[in-house]
Amino acid sequence: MEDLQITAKINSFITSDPWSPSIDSIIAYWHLFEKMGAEEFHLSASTQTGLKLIDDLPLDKFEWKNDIWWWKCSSPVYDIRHMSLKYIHRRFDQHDAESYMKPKKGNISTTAGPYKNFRGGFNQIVADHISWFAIGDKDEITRLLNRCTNIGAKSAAGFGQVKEWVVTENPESAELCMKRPVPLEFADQNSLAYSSVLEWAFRPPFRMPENRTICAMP
Amino acid sequence: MDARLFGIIKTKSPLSHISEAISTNSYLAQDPILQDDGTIEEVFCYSGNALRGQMRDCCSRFMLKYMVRKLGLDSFHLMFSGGKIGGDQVVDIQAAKILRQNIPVIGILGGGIGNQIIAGKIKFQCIYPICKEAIPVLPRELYEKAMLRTYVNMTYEKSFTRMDDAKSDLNSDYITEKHEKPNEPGEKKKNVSDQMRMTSELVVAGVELYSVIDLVGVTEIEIGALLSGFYDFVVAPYIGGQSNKGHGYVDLNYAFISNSKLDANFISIRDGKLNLSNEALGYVSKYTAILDRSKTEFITDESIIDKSKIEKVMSNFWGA
Repeated sequence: MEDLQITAKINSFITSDPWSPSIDSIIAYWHLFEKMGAEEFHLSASTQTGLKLIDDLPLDKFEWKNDIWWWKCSSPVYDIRHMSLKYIHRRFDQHDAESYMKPKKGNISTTAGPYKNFRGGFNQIVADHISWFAIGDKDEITRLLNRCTNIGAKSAAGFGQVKEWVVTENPESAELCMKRPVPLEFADQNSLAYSSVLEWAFRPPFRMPENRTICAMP
Repeated sequence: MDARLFGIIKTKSPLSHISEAISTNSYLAQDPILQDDGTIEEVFCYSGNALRGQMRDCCSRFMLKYMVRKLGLDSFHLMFSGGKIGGDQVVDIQAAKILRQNIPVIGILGGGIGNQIIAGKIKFQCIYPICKEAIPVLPRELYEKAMLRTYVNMTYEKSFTRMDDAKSDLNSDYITEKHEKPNEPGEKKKNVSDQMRMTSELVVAGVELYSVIDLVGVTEIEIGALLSGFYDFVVAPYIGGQSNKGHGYVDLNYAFISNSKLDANFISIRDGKLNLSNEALGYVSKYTAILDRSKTEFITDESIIDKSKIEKVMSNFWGA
C-alpha cells in the first residue's frame, strides 16, 4: 500500500454536495463491476436487496471499533472556477406513439403521473481537476480507474467526462485522507474539526443501512 | 467488452439546440469551458442526453419496424422514454434479465422497470465544436485543427416570420368567420399585427462537432442494437431542433476502438447515405439474428430456471 494522490482531469461535473463524488465509491463501483461481471452488476446495482458489504477494495482500511471501519481516502478536493445551471429533459414521444403504440382508450397525461414530462435543473461545477488522497495499491487503483469515463451525477448524459486519471505518490496523503466524513463520536474523541453533522455513509455502498450513521462532515 | 465510438458530426445546414428563449428570441445551449489561463469561455454544447434520446427512439423504431409489432403503453414508454419507476415494491432480477436478453436495446440503454432501474451500458458524451475555445475538452489529435478556428465565427442569428393567414385579404374568401371584432362607429382603427417575427441563434453550416460514445461491458449483440439505430437515423439525418425548417442536417463519421483495435471508418453517413464497415455489419447481423429468433421463440440462458416466467415477462412486454 502506498500514500497516493488520485487526480481526475475534467472540465466540469455535477454533484449535489461537497463530499461527492467519493473515490472509495468510484473504486468500489469498478471493483464490483469486474467481480460480478457486467450483466449481474447492472441487474443488481439498483436494488436495495442486492447491496452487500464490500471489504476487499485495493485501499487500506481504518479500523475504529467493532464493525466500524472505513477506507483510508479523503473527500474530493477541487477549486470551483465557475458554476452554471444545466437542464435535462425527458418527454413522452407522442409522434412515435401514433405509429408504434397499440391503440389505447382515454388520454395519457404528460403533466402528472408516471408518464410526466421532465425538465430537471442541475448545477454544473467547472473545475479542471478533482483530487483525492488515499492509501492503497497504486497499480490496481490505476487499472480500475482507467475504466471509468465519467464521474458525478448524470454521467450517462455525458456530464463529468474524465480526460485522464493520474495516480501519483504523495507523502502527505496519510494525514490528508482523514479529511472525510467520519462517525461523529470518532471525530469528537479525536478533536477533529468539522463543518456540519449529517446522517451519512462512512463507506460504500452508500445506500446500505449498516454503512450509515451520524457523521462529522469536513 | 469495453469500446468507444468517436468521430465528427458535420453540420450541413444551420443547427438549432436551444437552452432558453426570451420572448421570441431563442439562444443556443452553451457550456462553460475552463481555459488553460484560468478564464472561462462559453462554447456551444450539443447535449449527450439529446443524442441519447434520439438514438433510443431510432433503435426502438428499427426494432419495431423489423419485427412488425406495436407495444402497449408501459412498454412503449420504456423503449422510447426510458420507462418509469413505481408500482409494487418488488425487485425481480430474473424478469429484468429476461428483458435484457430478449430486447438488447434495453440491455444497452437501460430503463425503469417496475421498481427497478436497469442501468444502461452507454455514455453519450457532450458534443463540442472543433474550435480554439474548446481545446481543453478535445483530444490532442484535434488541437492543430482547432487552433485554426474560433467559436466567434461559428454562430449567427436568423429571423423567421409567421403570417396570420386568417387576416390576409388574399384568403378572405376561404374563411367563414372573422377573428377581429369590427370597430365601433367613430372608434379609431386598431393597429393589429398580422405576423410575428422570431429569431433563433444557430450554429453555422459546415461546423465540425466532436462526439464520443463510450460503451462499458457490452456484448456484440448490444453493439449491433446501437448500430441498428443509425439505419433509422439515416432516413432523416437531422439533429437538434427546427428540422421542419431544414436545420440540423448532418454528415457523420465514427471510428470504433476496442481492445486497442481501431476501425477508422466504422460508421459513416454522407449525403444521407449510410456506410458501415464489415466489422459493424457483423455486429448488426448478430443483432438481427436475435430479432429473427425472438419472432418465434424466447431467448434464454441456463440462469433462468423458471422457463414459464420467460413467457410471462415477454407477454407482459409485448402486451399479448
